[in-house]
Amino acid sequence: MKALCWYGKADVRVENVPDPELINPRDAIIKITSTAICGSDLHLYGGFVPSLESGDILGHEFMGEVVELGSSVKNLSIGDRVVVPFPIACGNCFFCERKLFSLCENSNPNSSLAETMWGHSPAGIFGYSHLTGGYAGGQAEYARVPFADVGPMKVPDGMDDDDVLFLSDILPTGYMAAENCDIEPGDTVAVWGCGPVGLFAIKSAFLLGAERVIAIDRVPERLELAREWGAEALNYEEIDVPEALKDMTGGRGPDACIDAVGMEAHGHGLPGFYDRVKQAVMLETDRPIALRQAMMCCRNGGTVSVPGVYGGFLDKVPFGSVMNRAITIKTGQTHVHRYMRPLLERIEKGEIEPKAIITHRLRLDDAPDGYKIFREKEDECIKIVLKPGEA
Amino acid sequence: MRADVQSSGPERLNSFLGWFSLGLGLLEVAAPQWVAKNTGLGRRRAGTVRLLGARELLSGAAIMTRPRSPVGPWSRVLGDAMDLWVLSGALNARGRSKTRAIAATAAVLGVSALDVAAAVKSNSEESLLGSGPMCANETVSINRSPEELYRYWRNFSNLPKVMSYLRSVEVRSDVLSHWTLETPVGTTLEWDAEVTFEKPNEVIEWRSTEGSDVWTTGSVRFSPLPGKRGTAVTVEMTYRVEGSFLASVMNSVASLFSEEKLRQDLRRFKQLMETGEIATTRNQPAGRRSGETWLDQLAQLSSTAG
Repeated sequence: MKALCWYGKADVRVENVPDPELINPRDAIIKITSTAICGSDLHLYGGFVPSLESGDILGHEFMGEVVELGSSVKNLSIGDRVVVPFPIACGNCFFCERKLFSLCENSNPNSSLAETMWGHSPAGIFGYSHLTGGYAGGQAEYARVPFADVGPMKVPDGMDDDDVLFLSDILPTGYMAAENCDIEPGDTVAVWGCGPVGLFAIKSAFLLGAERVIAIDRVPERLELAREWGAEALNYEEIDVPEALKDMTGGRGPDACIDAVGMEAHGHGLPGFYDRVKQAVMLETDRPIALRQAMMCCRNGGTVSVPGVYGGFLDKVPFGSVMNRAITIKTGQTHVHRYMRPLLERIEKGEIEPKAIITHRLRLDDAPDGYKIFREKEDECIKIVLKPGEA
Repeated sequence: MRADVQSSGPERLNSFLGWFSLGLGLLEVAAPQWVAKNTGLGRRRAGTVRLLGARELLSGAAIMTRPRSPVGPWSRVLGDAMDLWVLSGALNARGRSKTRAIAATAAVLGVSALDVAAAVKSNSEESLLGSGPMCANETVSINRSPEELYRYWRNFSNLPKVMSYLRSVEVRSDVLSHWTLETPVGTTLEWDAEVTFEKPNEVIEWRSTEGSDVWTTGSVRFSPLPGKRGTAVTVEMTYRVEGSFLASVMNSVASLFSEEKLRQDLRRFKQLMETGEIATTRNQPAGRRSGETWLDQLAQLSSTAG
């Protein structure tokens, strides 16, 4: 089958690889009809995530048709159309029982690697380096899905792939980020990053009752879409964001701040330069520019919600500000399984239209170009969806 | 360092070799041209001598800081091999250089004999961890009752599903069993074990019987976790292969991984008990010749397909 494989920094290629096979009784094989490139895939593309091996298949946002089932999977049938959540969860452990699916204790066969790096291991993830298990990803024609009796969700007839694909990752991610803000009526929420996750966080914040959402980015078409969805947009290359946030909130600061940017934050001025230099000489693995701002700008006692992906260590984080002002930090990889059905309902009711963010639909063969376009934000790109079935 | 230990033969040898390494290393680093000339290597090899000196200092440091560990003595043996190899080049020289080279070679050979003796002795008495035979102690929480877990473990023939490298355990009676282990290098080891103590749903203790090639003890404890959160399973195992020189080398190497291996084995036990299968990414597709990378192998530390 064809698959998008990683070979090095900014080197991804579509190669011919063996088809996946059933290994465990709870596996399923999915024939992939739609799959997307995620902002966090760009961290892999840029070589920021350790433990990638040459030839690894990327991709963790995918859906398709069940073509093979392990002997223990009773809730699915061959031919079912399913969306697959990106974290792999067993359903039986301490964390799965508490619906903390991205913390599953049983799905990462390389948990010792993750333990060395992070103290304990979270769940395995599709296509996201050997730290999270080295599972072959979904930017391919087929994928092996472990614990298929827990993860994949059946798609109702009459809904296109594009309507539901984002239930695999970014829509639940934006939603959980907003949910973590514990929004109360009258709240103002500030969102750093108007990429797909940030946009869904903005939408979700309104759905969860926020009165105002302030969106921060520098890419014009993304700020425009944020405005269309009801946010007040700030371009950080033109405006001093901390000052603006103070002005807009009567001096107090937003009630909650969402960092939907993560470790590859684009820095402006001296802080940006500082982080780039430190990263280049490997004294810092991640660039927390947006996070620092989110922490400092948040009102006393507010919440900083971090869906943005970080991998290693941060430098010069204003923890004094966090501690002395009782800031709550909520973060984590999304517990996708928990949100898929409730969000599907909202899509069916017309409260959200996920496909509005899709700007590019490409064949799998064009995926390498897709990565480049997505990273450089060329061609007014916001979200790219790949269609492996289409020649 | 245990206070009750008298200075024994092997310890004095190790100590001597440690000081010898430091002294020689210092000489080679500080006066490399003098050493090069007087061992027949010639002044031009001063750079090489300095490198050898640096290595010598490292060996000395290893011995002095970990007097019980085989690392120091074995690094000296390796170092001797390097020295001999460098000197062998000089043996082709003429005249006084050749004489000096021969003398130096003889000296190194003499010290090598001491080094090998020290290394083997340290191997057979201590593991690389310097605390006795290979010993590992790990705990895992499993979302099942102590009864269920005890029942599974007590049937020792189940253990190969949990413990990597264990090929089979044949239960011969209520207390006796025969274990077969396959080493990473492909050889097999076998021994008989007996259950020495058990308290249903709480503890099982076992040990290898007298005269076995492998000396091992093991214990597993099942304790309910607070808040009905399942069971904490604590396993302790000690392990030593008796007899041959090769065995003691194996002990040293294996002991490097024993804690991690036990942790992996317990994770496998947890996955089997909670989910009915063992998570794996073996043999899955990738854009390279073999599906499993060295990283996966290192992380999973197992020879069986889950």
